Amino acid sequence: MTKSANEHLNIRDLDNKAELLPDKHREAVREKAEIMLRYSDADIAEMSADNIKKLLIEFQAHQTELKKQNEELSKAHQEITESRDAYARLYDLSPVGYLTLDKAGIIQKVNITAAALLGRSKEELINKKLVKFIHLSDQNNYELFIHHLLAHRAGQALNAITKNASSDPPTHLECKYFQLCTDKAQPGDKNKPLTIECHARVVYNDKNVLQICLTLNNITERQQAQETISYLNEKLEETVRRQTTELIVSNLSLMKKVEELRRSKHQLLEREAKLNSIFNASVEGIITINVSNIIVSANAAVETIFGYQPEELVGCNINKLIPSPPKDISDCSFPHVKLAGQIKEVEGLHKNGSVVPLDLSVAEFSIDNAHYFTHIVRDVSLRKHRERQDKEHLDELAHVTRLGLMGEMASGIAHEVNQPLSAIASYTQVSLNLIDTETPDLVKLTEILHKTQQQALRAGRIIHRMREFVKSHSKHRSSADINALIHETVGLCIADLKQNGIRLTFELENNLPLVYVDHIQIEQVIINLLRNSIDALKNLPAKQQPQISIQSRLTLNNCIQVRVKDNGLGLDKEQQQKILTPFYTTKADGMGMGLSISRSLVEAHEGTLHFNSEPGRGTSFYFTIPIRRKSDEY
Amino acid sequence: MSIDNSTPVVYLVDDEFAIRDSLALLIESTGQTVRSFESAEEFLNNYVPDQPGCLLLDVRMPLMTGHELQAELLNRGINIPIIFISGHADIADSAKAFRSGAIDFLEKPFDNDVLLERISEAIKKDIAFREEFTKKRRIQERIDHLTSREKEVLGLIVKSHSNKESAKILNISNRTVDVHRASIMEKMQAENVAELITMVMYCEAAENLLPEKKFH
Repeated sequence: MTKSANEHLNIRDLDNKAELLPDKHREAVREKAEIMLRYSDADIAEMSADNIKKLLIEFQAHQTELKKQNEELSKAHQEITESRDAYARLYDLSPVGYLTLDKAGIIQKVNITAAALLGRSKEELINKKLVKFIHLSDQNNYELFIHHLLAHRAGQALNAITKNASSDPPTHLECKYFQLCTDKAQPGDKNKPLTIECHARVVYNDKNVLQICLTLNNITERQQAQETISYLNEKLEETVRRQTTELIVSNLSLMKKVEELRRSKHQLLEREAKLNSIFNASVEGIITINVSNIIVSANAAVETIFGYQPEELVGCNINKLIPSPPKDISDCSFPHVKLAGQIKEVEGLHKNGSVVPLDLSVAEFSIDNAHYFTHIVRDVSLRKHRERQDKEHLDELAHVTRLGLMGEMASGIAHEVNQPLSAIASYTQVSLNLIDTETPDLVKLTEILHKTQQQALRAGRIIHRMREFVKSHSKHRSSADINALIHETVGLCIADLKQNGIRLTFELENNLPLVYVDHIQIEQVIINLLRNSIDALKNLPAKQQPQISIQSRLTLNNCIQVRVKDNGLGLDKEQQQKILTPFYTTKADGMGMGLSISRSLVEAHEGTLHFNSEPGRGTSFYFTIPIRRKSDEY
Repeated sequence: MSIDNSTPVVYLVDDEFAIRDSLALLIESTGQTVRSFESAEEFLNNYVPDQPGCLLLDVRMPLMTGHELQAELLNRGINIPIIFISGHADIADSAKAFRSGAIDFLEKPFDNDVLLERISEAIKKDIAFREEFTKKRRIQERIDHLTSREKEVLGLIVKSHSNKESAKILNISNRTVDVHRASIMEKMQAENVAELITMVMYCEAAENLLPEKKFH
């Protein structure tokens, strides 16, 4: 019986042990044990010894087998225990926090890592709602998460979940992370919430009770890092954005500039083409030189002017073409600058050695700090020739009119000559009479002869002056004292003045600067004006004393002004309008050339001739001549 | 009044010194007195009419010309003979001069002999004129001494009226006319009527005395 009891015990033991075995195996062992139990329980007493013996042996064999099985089971149990310990270690010591919740969200199981994350002991956590440990701001999220989890998983078999899971997005429903409250102080940060990543899955335990398994990962640092990264990213993006904007703006302006450049390049090309065509088609020679006076370029016109091909000239000194620039330019240390903007008359040298009169203007430009001067020269031979012809014509005309004038003045001058001749005749008669006496008074005779000589010389002077005046002279200009010139001129008109009873007065300014003139032509002008005044005074009522005054003065603009003023009847409006036009005359025998030629002569001296007249109060004619310049003397 | 017998003076007016100087020397060398003036005005201011003489006058001068001086002298009743000397042979000038009674018009330079000849002619003329003038003055003085009735009678006598006719015209008696006539003959120092008429006619011509005007 004990044996049986033992067997019972063994069976129970086994049974207990089988409990620990996997279900299938355990069932098999249980069935065998129950069969054996039925045998034993039937009728041991009634069994024959043999049978008992057989049974015993069977039992023994069975026992041995059981023992063997038991051993195996113990071994398996030991393995299982070991495995369970390993699992428990693994569970508790895993770096991932594990939490098992029931469907109400109450913590059932928690591993060490999870407890540590939540900053509580396991005991403090078990049977508490997890939500209590979640940061207030994330509690809603959590609840929603759990709700979704349960709604989708509740009542579904684990297999189905697995199956479903394959069709669902890779992981289970998950909330990215929670922020959990921790009571225990973390080193450094007190009660600082950690950010936890949480994965959840719904499972059913062996009692088919729904459980929620959660894995917790501390991603605080990762998140902080991410935040930092995203902050940096944002900053970077902002910077990039800002820089992009700037780049876009500058790109736009660059494009604009490019467009402008393109356009101005086009314009430049166009202008260059235009300038080139001008450069080559120009009648004026265009020669560019550098600061060393070396010719850099020349256009086609230089060939016409100087006889050189443009290519021949490049590299030559400019003095090959213009040997002697005007004095005031060559003297100066930076000659060309002084020339800029003005036109100078210079002499050019043709290849064939002839001199070409030129108008020269110079423009300066610089490229890359190198200075260049563009000389533009115009051949003025034709103009010079015409000017010379004009001057010759004027000289001829002046001469012809002088002859006419002298014709008109002849009787007056004859009178002037007759005076000394008459005196000479008388003196010589007296001398003869003296000689005829017995004792001639030689002292008196000498005195008289001396006087005679003076008169002869005087007559000679008048004749000389007259001859000079009518001579077709080619005398050039020279310096003159205008007052002396006036006195000399009046000498030719004295007779006319006297004949008409005209009182002549002089108002001549002293110490006037010299003028540079053609003496005869200026005399002619003065004589014309005097004779006009004399004629104007012929119509004066008898009671009025005719007067002429000659004035000279220096004007503010460095000219000498000579004024011939009469107190005649003046000119009426019509006369004033026509008086300076050729062939207009108020005189019966006048040619009408006097004033017109006078004006041309004055203008040839770079002066002006004007008049003003007041009817009833007289007329005054005045002309100006520039004072002598330094440049006049060479 | 008696004839001035003092030496004749040659007046010379020319604005030209050389002319004045040479002519003065020349004329003085013939023993005549010369007075030179630079201008017409100067001459007018210094001219002494008592002396006989002549005037050598330049035509062209500033201010007053020779012609103007001539006119002024006529205007003042100065009858000095004028010889114009001019640098010009201007017909208009010379015509004007002669019309106004110039002795001659000489063009410079002139023949000195001709000039001197003209000068002496002119002086002679002036002397003659002066004598005549004096004579006329005497007759005039006698006429001036007649009463107005005697002047009336004289006028009628000169016009060859007889005593009777005169008496009739004057509505007086023949006898009264006779008395006046005798008085006139005496006052006028006339030998006979012919001489009386000559005297009065001479005076009238010279002095432009026209007594018949008084009868109108």
